[in-house]
Amino acid sequence: MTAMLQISDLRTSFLQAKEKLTVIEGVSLTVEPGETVGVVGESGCGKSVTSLSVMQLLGRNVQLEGSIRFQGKELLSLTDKQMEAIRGNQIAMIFQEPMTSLNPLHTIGKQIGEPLRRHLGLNRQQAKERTIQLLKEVGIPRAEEIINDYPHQLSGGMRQRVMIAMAMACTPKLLIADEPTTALDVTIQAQILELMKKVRDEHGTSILLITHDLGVVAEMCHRVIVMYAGQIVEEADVKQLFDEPKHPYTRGLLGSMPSLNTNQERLDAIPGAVPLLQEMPAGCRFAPRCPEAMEICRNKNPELLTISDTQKCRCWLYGEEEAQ
Amino acid sequence: MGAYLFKRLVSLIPILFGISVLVFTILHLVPGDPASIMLGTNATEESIAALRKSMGLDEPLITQYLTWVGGLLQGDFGVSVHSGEEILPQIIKRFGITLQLTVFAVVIGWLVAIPFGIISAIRAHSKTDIAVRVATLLGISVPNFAIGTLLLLVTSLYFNWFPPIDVVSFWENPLEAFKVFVLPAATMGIVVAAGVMRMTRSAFLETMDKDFIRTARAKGNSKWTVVMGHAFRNSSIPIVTIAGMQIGYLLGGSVIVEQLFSIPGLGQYVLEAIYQRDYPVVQGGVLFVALVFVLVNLLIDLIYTWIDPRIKY
Repeated sequence: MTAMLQISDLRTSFLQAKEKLTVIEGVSLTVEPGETVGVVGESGCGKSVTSLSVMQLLGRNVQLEGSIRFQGKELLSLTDKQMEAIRGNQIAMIFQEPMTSLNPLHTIGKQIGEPLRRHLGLNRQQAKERTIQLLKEVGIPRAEEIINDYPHQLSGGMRQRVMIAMAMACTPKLLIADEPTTALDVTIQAQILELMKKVRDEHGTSILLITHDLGVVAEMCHRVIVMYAGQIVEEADVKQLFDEPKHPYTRGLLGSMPSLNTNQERLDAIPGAVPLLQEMPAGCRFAPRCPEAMEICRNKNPELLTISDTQKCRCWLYGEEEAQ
Repeated sequence: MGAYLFKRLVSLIPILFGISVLVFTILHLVPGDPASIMLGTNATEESIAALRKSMGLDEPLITQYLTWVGGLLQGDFGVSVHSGEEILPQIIKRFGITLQLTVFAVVIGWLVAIPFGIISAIRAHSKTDIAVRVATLLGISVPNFAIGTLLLLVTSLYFNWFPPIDVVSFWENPLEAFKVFVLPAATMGIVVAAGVMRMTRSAFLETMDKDFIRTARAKGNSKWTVVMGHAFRNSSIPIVTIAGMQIGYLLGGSVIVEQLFSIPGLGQYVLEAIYQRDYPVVQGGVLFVALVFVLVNLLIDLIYTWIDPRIKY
């Protein structure tokens, strides 16, 4: 079976006037049909850039290298026009800020109808009927009236439902959700996640879920990819990741999550911050913050090692033979 | 909306009152009065005094002011002390010419400015962008009269073409009117274009960075749809603002351009009246221009509500 999405050795660089800043370095990941893969990490670790690379929405001064295959088709060799035909149609995206991500001057109906008319060739009336149906599917009451409203007349949760309806308009095969619940109230978050699950199960949509919230990962994902400083540091099934995290960074992330089961006095924060692009450490990129850093970690960046069929980790702790 | 409109119209009263006081005072502070200018340098003291008396200029200023305003309130702008003509019909006639010139200038300006401003923004820092910005800078910094003279020189010397002397309106003879107005309108249009182009570029640069533009692209829209369907309306408020201010100014009559091309517009009318110390004409003219300016601004504010549903009055 061909993978829904197969990213191999992706390198995303921003071309500045004088230098080339490589933000994503050798990321490879696969999303199978119907699968939900989470990408987690701190702010600035390259999660969003990875997702925008797939959509090719990063603007003009960006260089994408490597391979991004969608249902076996290489996306990086498509023309702009061919890519436009895929965006919003077979691959759709949901963004973090539903307020700013919706056009403030267009009615809800117009915004949801747009991909329907563009990709499915529906006329105004058909698009309107389908839009109402979509709004009902995402749980928006009074859909017939809402289509004439503007984004500012809706609440945050409603707006995110609209975003989901818009993304699901052409029943995409792959949905990329970039922090879909981060900007929402906790109670609304749960509703939106439920909705995404429902949509996924009804249409068999594959989801690439970008989040920094491990709770969301536990709730939604089958598999998880942990990113740090533009690289993948660990990849595992969701249960495995929570039960036996391998990479010190992953353990740090889990340790910084509040838990009701243990009687913690305080949360274990990971000291320090993600290194700047211009100041990447020579060795393992996490070494300066790693509690278990060894001599080799500071000199040589480890490869992503296969620990088991379902788990990979980029850490010298699991590659001692090589290290010595 | 109705209440807002009423409030705005009521607020016209103090504005116009203030302007009437201001223009009346300033005008009477300027040395020389219509009587002495009409009679020339050889006039005797007595004849000047007699003429002043017949014009009512010997009355106290406050009486003169009240007489003038009293007339205005009844819709009477008075007569020109110089020619004895009714002022209001003259203002309306002259304004008609200035209006045509303004509309023409603005159309020329926008047709150039908006497309180039947009291209300049979406191709920011490219060669096209740099060329557009240099042109904009020139348009802003080169004075009106220099551009107008240059245009006249170029058309007359190299194309042996002169604009017709007689001014006709677009309603009577569009082709002839086009010939009359094309050079002055182009002169004013260049200045209009420079301002609008700058604003278009910066407004589009800001809008194209917004999240909803990314969403529009994520939906698979073509570049054209993203720019024209999503960015355009979202960028148009600052553009409309500056365009409105420009129209307001131009409707007051572009004195230099009208003078240069001998267009008998409102600017020229008031300018001549100033030379002749024709008090009622200057006062009436300035007040009319102020009224137009305020009304144009009100119109712009109303256009905002049509552009952006979030703006409510």
